Amino acid sequence: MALEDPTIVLRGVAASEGIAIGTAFVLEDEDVAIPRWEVHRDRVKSEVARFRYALGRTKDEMVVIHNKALKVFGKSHARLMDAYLLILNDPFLNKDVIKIIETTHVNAEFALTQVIDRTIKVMENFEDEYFRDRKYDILDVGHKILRHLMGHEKKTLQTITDPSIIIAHNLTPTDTMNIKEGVALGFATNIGGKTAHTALLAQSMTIPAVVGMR
Amino acid sequence: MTKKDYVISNRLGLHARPASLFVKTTSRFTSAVKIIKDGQEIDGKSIMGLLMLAAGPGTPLTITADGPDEADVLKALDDLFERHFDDDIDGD
Repeated sequence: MALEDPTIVLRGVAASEGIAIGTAFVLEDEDVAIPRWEVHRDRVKSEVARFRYALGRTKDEMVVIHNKALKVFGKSHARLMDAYLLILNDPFLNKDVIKIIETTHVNAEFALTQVIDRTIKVMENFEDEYFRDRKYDILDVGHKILRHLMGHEKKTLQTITDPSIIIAHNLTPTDTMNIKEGVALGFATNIGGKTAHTALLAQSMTIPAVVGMR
Repeated sequence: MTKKDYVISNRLGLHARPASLFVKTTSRFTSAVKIIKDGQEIDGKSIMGLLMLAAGPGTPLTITADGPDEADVLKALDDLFERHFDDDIDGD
């Protein structure tokens, strides 16, 4: 009796062409549940301070990634980190989020998520694929701030030492820039379009990438 | 307040890199900058706002600057538009 073929075939969009054969490194998806609580009037100031502190920590982290990107991937990819730093300084985050905390007395995580969601909703409806894909950049920055707020340390791709094909639900540009040189043989993700930065990065690293797998 | 009309002239429109350049330029000045597209008004110092405009090539924009250095802001933006945001120098 023949065994059933255990092969699973997933198809997606060829974001960067090529063939890769190797061990899979599967990045577990981290779906963070956003807590919501009411902040007492006396605690609003310290909640705003907690948010500003998380923003500052995220900026520090981004500067490190920016410098690394500059060294490893060159100026054009480092520019993306430039845009990320500008997002961290954006009035939407520095004014709107704080205003929501101050006026509706909710925690920073919840206020931040409201602002990010509002932005994403607008971007999702764009006809132009490039502009629609920018929502991943906003989400990436938002997740980074959330991680600093909630004290989560993400298992990063920096821990990979053997050459592997990286499989993930989603890879953010900062995820991919954290990978050691020569370790990534290819990327395969569920999320992402042809013009997402991870796709562009794979093209410049000349390694194959499949996105939008199902 | 100073006001001027522009048309997005670079190849890809106001995507991440030109939008970054735009915000870096306007942020050097103290004047408040606003961008108006189809009646939608956003803060000219907000990259998230700029990306939310999804301004592709050929998009007409009205830009206003209000403050002590408003003329200088528009002069710097004139220069940026004339250089097409350096779009063709080394890509994105």
